[in-house]
Amino acid sequence: MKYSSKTRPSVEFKGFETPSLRAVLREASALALQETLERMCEQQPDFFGWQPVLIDLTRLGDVTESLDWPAVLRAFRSAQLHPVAVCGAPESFRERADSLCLGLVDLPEPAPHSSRALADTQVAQSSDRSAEPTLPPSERSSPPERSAQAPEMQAPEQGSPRSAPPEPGSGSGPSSGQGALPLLDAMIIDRPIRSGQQIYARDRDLIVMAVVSPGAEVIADGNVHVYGSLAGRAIAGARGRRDARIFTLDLRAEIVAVAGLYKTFEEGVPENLRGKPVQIALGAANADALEIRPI
Amino acid sequence: MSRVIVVTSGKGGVGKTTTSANLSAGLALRGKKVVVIDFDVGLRNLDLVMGCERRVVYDFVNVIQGEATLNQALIRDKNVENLHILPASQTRDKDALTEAGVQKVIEDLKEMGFDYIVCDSPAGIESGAVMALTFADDAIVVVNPEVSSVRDSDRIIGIIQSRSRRAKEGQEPVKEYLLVTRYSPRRVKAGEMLSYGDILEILKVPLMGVIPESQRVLESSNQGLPAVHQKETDVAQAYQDAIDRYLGNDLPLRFVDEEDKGFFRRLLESVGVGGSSKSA
Repeated sequence: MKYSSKTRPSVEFKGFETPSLRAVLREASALALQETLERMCEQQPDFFGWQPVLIDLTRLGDVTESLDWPAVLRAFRSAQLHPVAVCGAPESFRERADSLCLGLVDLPEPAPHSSRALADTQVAQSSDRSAEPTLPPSERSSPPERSAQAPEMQAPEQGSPRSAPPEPGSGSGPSSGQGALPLLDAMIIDRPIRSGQQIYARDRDLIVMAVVSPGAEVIADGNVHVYGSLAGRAIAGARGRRDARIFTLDLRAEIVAVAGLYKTFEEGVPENLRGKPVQIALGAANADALEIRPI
Repeated sequence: MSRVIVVTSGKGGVGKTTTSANLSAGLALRGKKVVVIDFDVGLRNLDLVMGCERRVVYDFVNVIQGEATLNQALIRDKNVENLHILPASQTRDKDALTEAGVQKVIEDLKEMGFDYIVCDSPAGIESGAVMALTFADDAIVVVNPEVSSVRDSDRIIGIIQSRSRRAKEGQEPVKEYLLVTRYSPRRVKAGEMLSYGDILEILKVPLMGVIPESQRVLESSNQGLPAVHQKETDVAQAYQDAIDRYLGNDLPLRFVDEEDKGFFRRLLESVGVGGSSKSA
């Protein structure tokens, strides 16, 4: 039966946000991967709990083709991870990816530590990008939106050590480039964010002009600014924007994350950073580490 | 113009039912027409604390399910005029309290001319607690000076801000009041307990009052006579102050300093009568 506008479509797309992971492979060895994953899941076999995983091949360069792919996929599945797609693979890999039922996805920005030789122009571009402000000042002319109520977003997933702080949107559909779009006006909230509440500023910065309580979560695709004490969790660059930052007057957070990289404070916030204004960003020297600097 | 007040906390055992009882009695003693409703489904406490447990014939769920009228279920308080109690059901079925059912009861109570409708919330954040706060105009958040109580109160405040009718319909938000109960100035001074200042710092909700820890509360619930009736006690006075503040009078806090023993006791002590004797 030919589909016409009068018949109902057989499938409907709705939003579904789920934590997902990007597995950055460091060696081109399925066996090493298997061993590492087995070690991780030793204490708790359902540590990963069937999260979707994006296999990041940027560090492997040309060795990608020679990997024992069936073994790699088996290794992930036995660790209760769903391999969904690969990223950081050359276009030539697409046919192979198809045959493995894996998608091929582009990373939003070039990964700084690729073992592939980056063209000079590419390197210049990435360093320019990090110096670029998130939005040229002239575009911020209209008054920022005020949020009257603190909306209670999806029920937060509490207490599961296995889920990395949720990356909203990254599990649903191609996320490439989403985090790099210019940001809309910031979402401003001027009431305390209470334990159990989760605020997500999609495609924009989040500004909280009050405290964030322990057990609360503040998430933005852009920057997170908290003009008060920040307890709970803060996530900036939720969909991959690597130049996003977290700013706060008083850091007391449990977890902070920027573009998927997170840091916990099991021993509390370091003495020299307590009670003063700080910013948290991906390191200038080492982009795989979060740096916390006093403002 | 009726006002619906929810007395809630998140954490259990901090003094919600005690506060509901004293608040309702205190307001009624000031001539207001008050009804207090027990929103717990299954664990019925308010009737005990109010001293009317032997007079419960019909309850809240009976009214919602049409098995009894409000007039049949409401119990008149023996100690103070203008005060009525709507007891909880003993059923364990949490679905018995429906939003539509609760709404109708509250609307009917407003029609009956009650000035204040006090909703005694159960502990937790599940349906009973949510139902109690859904129709609230004011919320009294009861908290003990102790970390888990403060954390749970923070949680329930968040829920009030997102799941009350006022929040969902974009009306003026529920007015929040903080009531610190079981306060011991001695323990605060010793660093064992959070001070009310610390609690305010964390929760950032206007303070309605501080109720001292007291043997009276246990005695009151055993006797079924809310403490507020024993006028000379510190608990009664603290609750009366709190009610005054709720009604708009700005009073200084009492019973928050260790030395605050009340004028007469200090006077008596200074001339060597009662308590520690001092040389004249």
